[in-house]
Amino acid sequence: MREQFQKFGGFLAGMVIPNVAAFICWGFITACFIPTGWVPNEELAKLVGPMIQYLLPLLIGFSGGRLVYGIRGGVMGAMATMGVIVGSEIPMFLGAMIIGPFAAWIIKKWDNMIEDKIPTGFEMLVNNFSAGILGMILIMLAYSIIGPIVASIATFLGVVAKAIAEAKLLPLLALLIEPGKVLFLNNAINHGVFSPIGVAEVKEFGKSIFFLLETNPGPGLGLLLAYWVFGKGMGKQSAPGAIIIHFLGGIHEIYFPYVLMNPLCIIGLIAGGLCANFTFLLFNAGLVATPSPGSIFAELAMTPKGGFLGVMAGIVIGTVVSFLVSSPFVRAYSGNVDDKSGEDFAKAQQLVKTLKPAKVQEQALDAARNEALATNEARLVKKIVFACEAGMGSSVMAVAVLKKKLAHAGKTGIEVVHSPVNQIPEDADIVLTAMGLVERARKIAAPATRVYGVQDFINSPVYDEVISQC
Amino acid sequence: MRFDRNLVFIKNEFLNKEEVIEFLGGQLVQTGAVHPDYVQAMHKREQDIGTYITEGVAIPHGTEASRSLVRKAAIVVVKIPCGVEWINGNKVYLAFGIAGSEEEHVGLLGELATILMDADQKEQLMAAESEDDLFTCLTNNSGKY
Repeated sequence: MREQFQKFGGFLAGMVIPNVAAFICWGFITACFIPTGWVPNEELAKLVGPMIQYLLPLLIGFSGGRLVYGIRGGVMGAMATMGVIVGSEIPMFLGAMIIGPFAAWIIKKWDNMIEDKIPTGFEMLVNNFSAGILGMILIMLAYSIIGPIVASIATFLGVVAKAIAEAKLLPLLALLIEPGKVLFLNNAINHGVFSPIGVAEVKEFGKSIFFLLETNPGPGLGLLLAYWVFGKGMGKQSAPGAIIIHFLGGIHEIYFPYVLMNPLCIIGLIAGGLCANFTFLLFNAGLVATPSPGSIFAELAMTPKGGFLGVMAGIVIGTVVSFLVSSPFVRAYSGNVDDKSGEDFAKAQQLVKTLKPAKVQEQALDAARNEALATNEARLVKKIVFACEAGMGSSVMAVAVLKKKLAHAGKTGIEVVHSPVNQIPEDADIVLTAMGLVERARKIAAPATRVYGVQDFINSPVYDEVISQC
Repeated sequence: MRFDRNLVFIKNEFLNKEEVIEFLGGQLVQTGAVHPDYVQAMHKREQDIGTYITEGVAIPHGTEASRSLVRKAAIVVVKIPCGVEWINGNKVYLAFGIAGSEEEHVGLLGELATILMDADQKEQLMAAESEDDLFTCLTNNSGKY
């Protein structure tokens, strides 16, 4: 179950992570050039809309399709994404994440169906035309259904928000606002509910809490901090840049992809929002108008005199709670895509190996013997795992070899399987892997698991050593 | 899954392992088993971890990330009588280009492994003089589990 979860998370990440640079780019452009940005520039600000409306969703749709069926799938995904983009007024990140892989899956099934039925010489023609026509059908489908779906969700959110606001259960609004933001549906709530009430309150009291609810940069900051501290690979490395864009630039959209690729994080955001809203209520905090964009500077600028404590308290609480609750989810997701640090590690190991091959093999054997001696009540070996990068070659063959050797030696009841090095099962008693992966395997395997490096997968002396331990 | 006679070769024209991988990858593409990008993934895999598995034998294949580029499982075999330097001064005389999808190719690789385990059978493979011989060796010996 956990493996499936991680696989799904890895898939979601695979759609978003390769495109993080584009998100950051858009974030910087927006933070700089919009009328309320750092360096307003009317001409360059024209980039903001088309990029978030077209470029970013298309990249997501392409990536999603590519994960399912290579470049061909990617092109299908991008095509289908146009359907949801044009069919709705709001940016379609989630829409792209759904339709991209789906479109690729359709073309994959189609290709399988007609595989042997194409007359020779016509392959390119059939491939391109079938993709084009299927693409068109998918676009029309997407276009026709997305509009009504989005509209109904937006209306629903608006109605519920109004009910909650009138019942004075303000903290609960976080349950609607945070998901609404990520799906770009918050405008419905803003215009329909918050603005009218907010304006009326400002007339009467000089400030309104309704201007704080959605614009609080705290929860988003907490999530990005969680990625910076506990994230891996690209997610971790891009977090600082995203924090600047989000907290200092006020462009909250930058944290949306981080939620979309790890949906459970929404729980952290909701928790942060809930606690922040409570805090605002407690301190009777409010702003005089909508801070736009939602940067820390704009928030403070809109705070009435004497209200700084309440506003800051809410922002800080929102950040802390969101960070604490999001962290376990960020940690749990192990995105293997583009794990640069892992690759560099393997490269370094390979280098060491080429310099002193024989010596390292010897050391591995010595270590094996020492470990076996150390564990006097030698743990019963029930599961041996071959770890490999791709699980396509050496580990498959090695499993066959070891199974045969075990049978020859009369040892029964021992499970021998192969697995990708990033998914070594926790109940593995012994792990065998290529020399270049030993360090990584040691990190991933459970502490009590014995890990040995193998150079010759067919005739390794390590095999005999391992068999003697069974 | 069986070895395909059309994918068994004996060639001596390779100067280095990159050329061998290029050839094996090209054959996999031609036979419709993989998307053309898979060949690059094979080179990358070789650079990252290397696919030399036992004396004289290498099994180039793609990275984990390139799995989605594999349309169906396939194995291309090439025997290189003069050998090609592969790693640490070790030469490769027998290279198997692998496109793995799901568990389709596992049985065949397992059989290949047991052939290579047996010194006599391995010698037979290395001594095969024609492509037909090589193919016969591979298919006869597989199944002698």
